Amino acid sequence: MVAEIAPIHIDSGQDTPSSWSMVFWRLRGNPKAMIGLTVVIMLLIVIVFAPFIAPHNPNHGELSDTLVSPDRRYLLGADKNGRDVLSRLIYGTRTALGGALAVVLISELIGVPLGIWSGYRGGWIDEVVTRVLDMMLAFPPLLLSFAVVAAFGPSIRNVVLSLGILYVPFITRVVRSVTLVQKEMVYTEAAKAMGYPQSRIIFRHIFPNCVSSVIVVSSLDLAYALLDIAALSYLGLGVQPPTPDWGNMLSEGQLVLLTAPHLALSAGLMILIAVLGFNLLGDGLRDVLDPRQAKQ
Amino acid sequence: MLRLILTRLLTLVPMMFIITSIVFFMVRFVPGDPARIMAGGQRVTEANLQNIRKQYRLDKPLPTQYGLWVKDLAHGNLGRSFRQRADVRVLIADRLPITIQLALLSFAVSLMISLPLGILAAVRPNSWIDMVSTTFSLIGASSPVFFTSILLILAFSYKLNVLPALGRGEGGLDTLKHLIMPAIALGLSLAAISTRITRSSMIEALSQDYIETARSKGLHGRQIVLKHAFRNALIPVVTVAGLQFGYLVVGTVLVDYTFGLGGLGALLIDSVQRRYYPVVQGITIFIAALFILINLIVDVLYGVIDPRVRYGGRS
Repeated sequence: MVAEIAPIHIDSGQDTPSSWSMVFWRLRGNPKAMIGLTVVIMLLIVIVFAPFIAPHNPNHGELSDTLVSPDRRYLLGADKNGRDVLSRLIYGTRTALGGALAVVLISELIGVPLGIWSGYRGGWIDEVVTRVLDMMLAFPPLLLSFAVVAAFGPSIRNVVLSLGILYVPFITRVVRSVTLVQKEMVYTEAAKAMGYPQSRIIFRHIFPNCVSSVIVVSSLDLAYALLDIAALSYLGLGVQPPTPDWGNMLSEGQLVLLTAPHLALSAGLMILIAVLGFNLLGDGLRDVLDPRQAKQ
Repeated sequence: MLRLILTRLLTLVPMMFIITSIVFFMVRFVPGDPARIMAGGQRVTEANLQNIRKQYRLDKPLPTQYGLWVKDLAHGNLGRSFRQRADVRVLIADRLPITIQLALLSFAVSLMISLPLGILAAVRPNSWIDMVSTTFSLIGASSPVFFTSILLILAFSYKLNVLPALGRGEGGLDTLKHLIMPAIALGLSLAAISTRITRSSMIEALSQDYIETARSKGLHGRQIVLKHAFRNALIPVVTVAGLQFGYLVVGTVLVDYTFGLGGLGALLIDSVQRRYYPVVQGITIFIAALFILINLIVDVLYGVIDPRVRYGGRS
């Protein structure tokens, strides 16, 4: 009996330090994941150290430098108000990526407990939760956030809150399915038989096993959130000028596409690189942490 | 088959209920006077506000408002826009044709790229074509469709000067010319996802026993790939095509805005920017209803492709 339990326990990927260093060791052999991880770490550094990295004040413009092409002084040129594009892109990381992080965090704060609760309780509660989430999944978040912005007005706060709620189904679905599997595991049964309280079973056995799936989904969700926030800001519904953001810089750049293409190109490339980074990292993490799902 | 359709219809009713509730109650919980929001967030006279309250029944209790509104919807009435002084149905009908053309063209572009690319990548795993397919999927899924659009405009309108950058043209061939770039931009975006799915479901199908059997019967490679494997790989592809409808709608909105096509997407964005809530509400409900229809069609398609679905019990 003991011999049967042991391999399952290892398979469940307990959060011991050794298993996490194993994960990193295996990630190193995965070029996709390493490229993604490098991009993500660099972006996080830019967020934290933006004031030190940016060569100019992002909101201060010299009118004589309007739409200057890239040169020594302005590495990526200047925009229609003579502001340094590079510095604005650097500060724009804060709204774009910061917003996406907030969206995913909100969705996890609601989605993880909801998924565990629904999967663990089962019965009609699970049935109702699953049905509602399936319906929400079918409807694109961006469309409902249009309605939110129309009702509450355009701002990054409204955008982040609405997307955060609309992203709940993505994470809940995954956490619920992991919970369903873990609930039937021998060690969960054993813990139940020993009379441990539900909270201990959930925090010691169910939740730790959700962590790896949550990390994979978060990385991919961050990519989606970056795209959605960029789209809303591009449409003038998210981050409002003069606050620098990749999305609104792209739409400003589109207006002067013929005379100063570097504006739109640099802003668009930043979005592309950031989204690609999170997609690569998410794919790589899935290969390493969740081989069963990766095969599909 | 009829039973399949009916049961699916019944399960889709709650979705409509949830969407209508969200759209309806949200605007009524915004701090401030809902009549002002319905007016488009601008200055209006007290007499106008009274008019709006009457028109949108804001003077009645909430449950009554909701009941009457749903009754209107059931009759196909999406309400009126106070600002444009027009029936929302008319506003939508004006803009719909160009949006449908864009959606169909984009979908065609997506299929033309993703099916051959996905199948070839699956038949020859780890070859150069597989590399191309994987790289294309990754970059295509990561590039915002409006950025892809801008790149196309730079290349084909400004550098090569072969296609118009903006507008919807003057009908006929001219409109088609204006639709080429938008359809390619959106088609590339859609193809990124479906190439990946086509590839993985083809690999799955090609590893089945019946493929071995077909091979041992001495059938040709092409026959095996197209007749035996592809038909079975179609189910996930149709699923994704159905799921992609959501992305297709969002994509048409974004592309419409970027290229200034003046379709339904442009109307929606314009209404959101000016906060014409009744129009946004009407379009959202309209799209939700379309969703239900498409979901139904996809389910029926399953039945057509896979007899196991038709005769009860999903595989």
